[in-house]
Amino acid sequence: MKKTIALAGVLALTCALPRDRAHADDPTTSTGTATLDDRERALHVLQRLAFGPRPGDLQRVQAMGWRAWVEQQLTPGALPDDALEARLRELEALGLTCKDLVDRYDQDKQRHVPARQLVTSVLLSALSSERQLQEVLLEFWRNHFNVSVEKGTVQLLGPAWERDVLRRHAFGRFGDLLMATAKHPAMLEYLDNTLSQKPISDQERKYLASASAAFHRQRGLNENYARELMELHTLGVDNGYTQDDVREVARALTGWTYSAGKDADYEFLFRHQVHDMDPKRVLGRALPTTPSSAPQTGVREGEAIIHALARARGTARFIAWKLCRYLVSDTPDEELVEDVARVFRETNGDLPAVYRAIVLDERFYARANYRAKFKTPFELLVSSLRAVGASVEDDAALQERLHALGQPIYRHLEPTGYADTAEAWQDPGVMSARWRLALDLGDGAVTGVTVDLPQRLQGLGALEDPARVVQAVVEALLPGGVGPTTRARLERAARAAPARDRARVLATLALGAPEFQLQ
Amino acid sequence: MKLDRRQFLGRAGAACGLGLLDPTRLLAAPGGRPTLVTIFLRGGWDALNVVVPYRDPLYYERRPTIAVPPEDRGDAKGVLRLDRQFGLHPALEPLFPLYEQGKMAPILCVGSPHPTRSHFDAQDFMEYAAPGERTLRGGWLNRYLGMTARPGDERRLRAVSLQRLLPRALRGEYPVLAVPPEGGPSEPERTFEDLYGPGEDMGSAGPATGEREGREGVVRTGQDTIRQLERYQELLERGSAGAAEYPDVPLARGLKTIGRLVRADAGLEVAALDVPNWDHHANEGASHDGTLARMLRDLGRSLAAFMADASDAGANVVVLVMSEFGRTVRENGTSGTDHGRGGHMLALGTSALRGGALYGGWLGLEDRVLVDRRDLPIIVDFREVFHEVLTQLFACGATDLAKRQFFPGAWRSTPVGARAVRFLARPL
Repeated sequence: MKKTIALAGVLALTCALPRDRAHADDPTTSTGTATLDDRERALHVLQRLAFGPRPGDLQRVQAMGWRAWVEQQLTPGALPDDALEARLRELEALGLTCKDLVDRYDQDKQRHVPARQLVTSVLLSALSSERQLQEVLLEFWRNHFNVSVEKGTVQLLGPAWERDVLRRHAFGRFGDLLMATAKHPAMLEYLDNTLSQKPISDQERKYLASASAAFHRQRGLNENYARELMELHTLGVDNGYTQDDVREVARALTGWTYSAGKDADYEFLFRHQVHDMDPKRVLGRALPTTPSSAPQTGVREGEAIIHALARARGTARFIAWKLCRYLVSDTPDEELVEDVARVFRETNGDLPAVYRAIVLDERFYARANYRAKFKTPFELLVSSLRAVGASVEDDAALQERLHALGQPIYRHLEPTGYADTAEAWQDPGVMSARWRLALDLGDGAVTGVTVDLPQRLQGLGALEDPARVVQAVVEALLPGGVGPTTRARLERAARAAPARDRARVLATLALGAPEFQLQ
Repeated sequence: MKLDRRQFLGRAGAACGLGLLDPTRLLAAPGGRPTLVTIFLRGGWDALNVVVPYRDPLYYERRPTIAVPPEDRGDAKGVLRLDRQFGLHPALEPLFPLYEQGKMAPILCVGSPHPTRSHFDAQDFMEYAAPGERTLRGGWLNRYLGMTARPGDERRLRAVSLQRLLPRALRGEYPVLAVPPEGGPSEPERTFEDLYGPGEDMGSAGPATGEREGREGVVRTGQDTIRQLERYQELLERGSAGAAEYPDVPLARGLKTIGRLVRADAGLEVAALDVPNWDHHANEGASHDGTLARMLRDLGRSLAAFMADASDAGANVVVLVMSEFGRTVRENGTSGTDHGRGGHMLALGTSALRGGALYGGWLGLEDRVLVDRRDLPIIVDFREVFHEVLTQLFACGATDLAKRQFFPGAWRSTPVGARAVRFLARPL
């Protein structure tokens, strides 16, 4: 109801205004001042700190003031989100513990359900949560601490990972988030840190039987997690660690696994029997022999290393840089990164403080950043749905679109996660899929999705002046305005289309326009 | 200021200042105009289980559960012997006849001098052919295309990648098409053709804002999409499908399409394909069973079918199968292997390859010859392989490459080109 009123208000306003509001809509004739004005900031925060404006959002944020909106978003816990919560309650897997997920779904024809519900929840939350900044940041952490539901038990445990690791800690302390990732079965499984719990296969038994007596089998060491812990999660590539450190960290983390199998609780488990108890030298510090009288204390080695990594200067810098690259610019301002890193260090990794240091900094609002970032497929899909006021009854077709666009949720194979720069996504090969999405949304031809906007714009078809139709569509879908060439071509398309098709054609073109690919 | 791509094409030779490379050079290649197909296996394939030192007891000692047996033992198939020392993983059986016909050649212990074992970095360094350098913007294949660009290129299809996202080796200033699985242009392209068409807005005067540059970048990408998909479709329709039977996997589908483009005589010089998922940290499996065997089977069948089609068409094709690194000699505690350094490449060719032999080098498997006492050594710098492709297959002058600093960076002990592998025949 609120949406209808707000949109009707927009249309009324648009129809009443004279055509030459060119200045505010046409960025190439804007003031070109170094920082953005209030209206531009309202749009900027909706595009960067939310997944794009829904109909009426821009007016709402302008009315309350962009700064107040940002402040509100920085404490997501205080924002009610009832509609979404009710919707998500229908997805049973989202609320289950790891053990319950296994008990309930580890059987034929059920195994796909947890991952299915997980990706649905991610999409629906990004689409309709009131806590937009939280969703934007969760997308960041999802890729930073990448796990793929295509790997082993992660298929079943994904919902618990998203809830207990990411959602619980994204607005907490980085050290807590990091420790939670290190001890969660999903990460231990994904990066092979857990020793296989499967029985030795017949094949292996055959080889072991025929192996020579002098044969020495390497003691369970798998470096995968240890490497990515430093390279991807904390310090960054070669930023203060060596190959020796990788091996030593791997040794310290031996025994870090989770209990699995019949009657197991699928929680973190430190199997001291397989922990390497010998002394180690890691990142310049010496770790003594684990006392055999208290083998369980060996877990503290890994914990100490993780604490140290969370506090490391290199980590503060790496996380600050990555967040700035995600939120601000593909090539973030060096000084801003330094300032944010300092906040990270001084607050001991207080993430809300770090976020605040970015989103309330004047440099975030520099004109160079405005509408300059190429949207990832996820950002494009969600912002398209929000722009047209779509409601989603069934997200299956949308998930397939994400796959066609190259970014299926929770299915990135490598631990690097999905990239967020234009360089990674702006290929001729993906433009076709983006245009196809715009076409199908405009046609209302995406299964399971109801699009309101083109119907609401139907009335505009009756307007004689194609330029006014274009203006209305631009106001509705591209409130930052379009360049003169785009505008001229939209008007040409409006003239060429029969009156009853005009709105639909223009909405399609707007969603596929160059301006809509940017945020 | 970034050069507009279309301007770049027009000014190619002049911009480099060293004169345009003779466009007739390609005709001099043995077997006629050559096509290079690169297949990048992402994740670091376990080269030691692909070309197996089946007589070395250390191999079996180091890999108690995942070693490939020296001969058939019941269910477990043994290696296919290439010579008295090395054998091919049995799952690559379709490639064995090619070896015997001189159309396949492994290159052993190839790698990068840079010590990274990070997927991301190792892949970057290999695809830019500049280990340790992070400043280069274009991949080595893109640099080759740019260096040899000439007017009228936008009417040709010199390079293609058959997947949505371009591999880094083909990224750069020179526009290369990444063809989505759906193929040529269709309704989306027709709908947006006008909106993305060339116009006055592009490159016009006015404040260069992030917004304007962003928009121009998107428009350029859109224009490239439309133009290249049209070209692609035209050329594809000119070429017939070959008679070979391909397995139903993405790699095979891609190779089949490349086969059609080759048969269309479209002037395709470079095609690139990725195959993901070779990062076998656990449960790699040994000879007839397990993940590695399955993937090798698909790889072998796809390549054999493609080579049959290419040979039938009388085309001059070289395929280079590579990976960012090899894996540890010892298996780990989870019946897999971890990231290593030296690995093997496979080269295949219809006429330009001196196949039926093994290249590179081998020092055995004792700890003292291994990198960090764990990984295969790097006896051949991968850039030597690339250099040879450029000079022997594409007839680029070695002095030209050196002058252009085609392979920049400090990570080498000898100038690239000084230690040729000699796996390709000399041009006439």
